[in-house]
Amino acid sequence: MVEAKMVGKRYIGKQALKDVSLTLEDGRIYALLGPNGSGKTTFMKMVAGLVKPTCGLLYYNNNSIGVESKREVAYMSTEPFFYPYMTVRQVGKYFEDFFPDFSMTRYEELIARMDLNMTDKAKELSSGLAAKLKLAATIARDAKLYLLDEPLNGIDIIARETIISTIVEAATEGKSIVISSHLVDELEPVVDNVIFMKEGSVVLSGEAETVRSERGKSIVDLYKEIYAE
Amino acid sequence: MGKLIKYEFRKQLMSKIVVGFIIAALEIVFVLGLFLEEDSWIGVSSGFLMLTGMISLLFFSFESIITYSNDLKTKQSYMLFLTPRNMFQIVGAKILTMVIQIFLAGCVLAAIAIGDVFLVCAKYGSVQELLENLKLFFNALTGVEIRLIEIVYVILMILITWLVFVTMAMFAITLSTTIFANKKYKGVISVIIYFALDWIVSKIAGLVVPTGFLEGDYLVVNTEAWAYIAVYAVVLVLDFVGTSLLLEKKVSV
Repeated sequence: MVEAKMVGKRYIGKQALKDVSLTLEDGRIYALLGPNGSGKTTFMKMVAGLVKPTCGLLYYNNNSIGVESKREVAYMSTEPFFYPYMTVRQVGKYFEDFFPDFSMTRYEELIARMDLNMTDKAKELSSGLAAKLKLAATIARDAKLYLLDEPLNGIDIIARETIISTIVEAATEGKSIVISSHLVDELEPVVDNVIFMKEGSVVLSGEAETVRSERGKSIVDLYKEIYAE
Repeated sequence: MGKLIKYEFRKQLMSKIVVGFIIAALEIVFVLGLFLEEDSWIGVSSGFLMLTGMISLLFFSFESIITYSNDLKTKQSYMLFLTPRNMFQIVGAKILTMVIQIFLAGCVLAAIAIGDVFLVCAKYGSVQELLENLKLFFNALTGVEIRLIEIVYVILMILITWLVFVTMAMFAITLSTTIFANKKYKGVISVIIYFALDWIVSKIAGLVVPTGFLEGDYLVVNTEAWAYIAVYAVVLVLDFVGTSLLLEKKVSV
């Protein structure tokens, strides 16, 4: 589905990504793990078509990232990004206007489940509700690949379970989900594959079960080991 | 592209509502002044109507540039650049929105002005007399005879030079967020590039029409005059293609 070959990205005085090579396959849930500044967001934004690589090759279904891939890839950023004038309903209308795979019925259902109101102003929502709105708009798309950047940020401990189950529901046959998060213990039970990133590079990746058995440690313990160094 | 244009309009709607309210209030004062025969009300309101019209047209242009800058430099850029649309459509929608809104604003302002002129004539005299007086006033002011073709040409020239001004600003902003994105003084560099390009374009246009547009007391719309517009049309296309290609190949938001 996604293939990255020696992909790099450089900003002023900072190498955000270094020689990242990895493959994302159909029908899998990936945990993209790493501390702030490890390159998770940059990689996701590259696949979403928001950031251009400085070097290397990046393909979605054997084609370059572009208009076609944007039709099938749904990206949820970590920050709120809706236009300031928008209400929750207008956010849905915007997605409906631009993404043929967006379902307004599903969106309305998710909005109700997440205790949001269609008339609420998006910019006036609390951080938790704003995070739920971003997720609802993204998950209401019938995308092939979901890229969720820190979907649990700002979500209280009680609502996290709802969020995780909503995300897992979206993982129907053939669809893939990439979730970046610091909250590894909450992701571990639901992910199929893990990708550990550190200082812009992939330091460990593979099927979660294989990684656990080969290393003899849980993903949470591996996270502590890798990033405590 | 229609949907992109719809949201471009929506992003800039608030300023139109505010301007609409100001103009409506001034128009009410003008009409009241006319019927109550309060000359000072008519004078002040018509003065402010003209001022508001000119300022709002200028403001709408700057607002388009600021909106484009925000679309590249803030998180709301995701709304635009996540959509499955190519950059030619995105930039094209922005330029078309600018043209449509300036055209509509111009039409509304012109309609108000014409309506007010007719109201004044209905109250104080004939339309023909007023138009003759306006023409004489303009001729006395500029020393130039006016004909219809010249009016059309001047409107076209103002429109295209204005469009080039805006699209060149868009191109400069795009440079600062693409090719110069990793440079320390990217903002300053793109401002310098903007003024350099503006200077080059005006020099080229000046070479096309070396002797100016006046021939005696007439403004002459000849081949050179149309070539002058053609130069700006070419620059407009180059701005559009350059901006779109830079976004397509280089932009990171």
